[in-house]
Amino acid sequence: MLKDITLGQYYQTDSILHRSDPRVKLTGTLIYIVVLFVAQNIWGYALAAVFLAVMIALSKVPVKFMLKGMRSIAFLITLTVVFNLFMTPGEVIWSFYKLKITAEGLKMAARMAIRLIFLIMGSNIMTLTTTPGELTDGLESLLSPFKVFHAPVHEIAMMMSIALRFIPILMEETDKIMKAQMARGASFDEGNIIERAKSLVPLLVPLFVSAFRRASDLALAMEARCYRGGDKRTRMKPLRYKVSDYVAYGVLIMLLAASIALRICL
Amino acid sequence: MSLEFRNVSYEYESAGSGYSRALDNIDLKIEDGVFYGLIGHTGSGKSTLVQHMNGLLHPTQGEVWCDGVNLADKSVNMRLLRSQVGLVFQYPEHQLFETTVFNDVCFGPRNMGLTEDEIKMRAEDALKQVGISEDMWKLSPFDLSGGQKRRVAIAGVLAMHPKILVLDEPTAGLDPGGRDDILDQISFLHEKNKMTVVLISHSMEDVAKYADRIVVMNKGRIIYNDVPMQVFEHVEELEEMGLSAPQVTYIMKKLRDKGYPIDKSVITIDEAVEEIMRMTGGKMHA
Repeated sequence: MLKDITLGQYYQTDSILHRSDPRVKLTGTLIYIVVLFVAQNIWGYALAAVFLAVMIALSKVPVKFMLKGMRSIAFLITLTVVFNLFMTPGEVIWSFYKLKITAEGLKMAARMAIRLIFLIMGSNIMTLTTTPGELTDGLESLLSPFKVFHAPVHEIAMMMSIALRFIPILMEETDKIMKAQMARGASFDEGNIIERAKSLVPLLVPLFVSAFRRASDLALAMEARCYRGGDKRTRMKPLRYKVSDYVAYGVLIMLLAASIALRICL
Repeated sequence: MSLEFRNVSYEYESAGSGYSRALDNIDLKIEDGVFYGLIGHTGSGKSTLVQHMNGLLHPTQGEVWCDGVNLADKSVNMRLLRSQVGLVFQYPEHQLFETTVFNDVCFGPRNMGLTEDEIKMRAEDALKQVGISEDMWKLSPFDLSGGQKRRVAIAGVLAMHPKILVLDEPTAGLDPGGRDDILDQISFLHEKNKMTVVLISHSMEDVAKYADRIVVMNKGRIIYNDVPMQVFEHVEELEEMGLSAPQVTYIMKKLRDKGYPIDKSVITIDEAVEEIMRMTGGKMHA
């Protein structure tokens, strides 16, 4: 049940995307999101779709694995579609009691669904091909200009990497706690909303206790190894751009330019 | 209450590398009133196997039958099944959550929908059975020592009055004293209530001392399912699986090889002492 969530997971394999610099992938994801919101007509979305397809092919991550991750957000997408479908005012094309579907609503719903799916798949490709360590290194490096304003960039990056690192551990633990409580007759999918919320107590209490214990253990282990924050810390694998990374930046700029051109000209 | 595995296999999807087989064609019958020791190396499928016993996992192939009912059947009352096949997980930290020890033990019986009096009575009984004295009942379960937490966790399952008690390494991480205490208590419950017990362990010593039958697992398969004496005959095979026979059986084997007429049924230290006494005509201390 919980292990079906593949969002934010790393998929181990060797591909161009896996080898490229995390800063390129982070910037790329950002540009891709901009492209999605710049897109206004069918050609804009087609461009985004083609780019996404090429990236999935390059990442060597099985499409099945990616789609499985999408299943967990199916509810979110359905909700968005339903709201847009019924709540957008305009020319009514179908009505049932107080429910009305408008042409504008139909358009809006389709657009939002496509945007959401592409957006999540796009950022999913980044996390699937980048280890959490690389990701935070990249983020720290990209945000380092803000150090001028005394922003705690290193600390934020460290917190992010710890959070990412603990997602699989806490998920596994949640699974074990659920099983231990189910063995005592607990049930997590019965009753009305209040009963369900109550049934989470036996799950959340052990989970929080364990999370706090892990946090203090980790802090102790870091202090025992003289961790002192970001100042003058060197890296085992410093980030260095390769030629292919500059090419990738070029491609990304072209993508952005193309999408803007498509919006203006068509 | 009979429990039967018929040709059970269980596969799970592991990230990236396709399917892994945790259980491979398991055939096993859990007989009433027997103390089973389930032994295997880490990753041999022991924990996966016992999670099939109370329907937390369902086989990908094959069937698990309980009293003539297939557990994969939609009509099976899982709550009832789980109260009859009581499974205690390895880490008590994964189940203790209430404000007091007593309330925590009440959780299982309360889920069974019993009356408040019955719940209280069962919790009191269970706590006494595992040797948690009354002055600890109002403490927070998080303030207990490791051994005490484990007892409370076991009490939490015992309070449901299971017919089969399954324990996943109940002694991991305990000091020798605490370990013997817990195992003695489980053994006592087995004797007194004629309860069926399945004890997962990787200590051959523990299992040799308490179990009527030993089930040895390796790479998702059952390799041996026999009385301890017969299983410990296969010392070389056990060692190949990263297991071993109890240390005393090695001495007994050496003595037998030297020509001493030692009985093969000797598998615990007490029995070994007795056997050597018998052989020397009780003149050990003379």
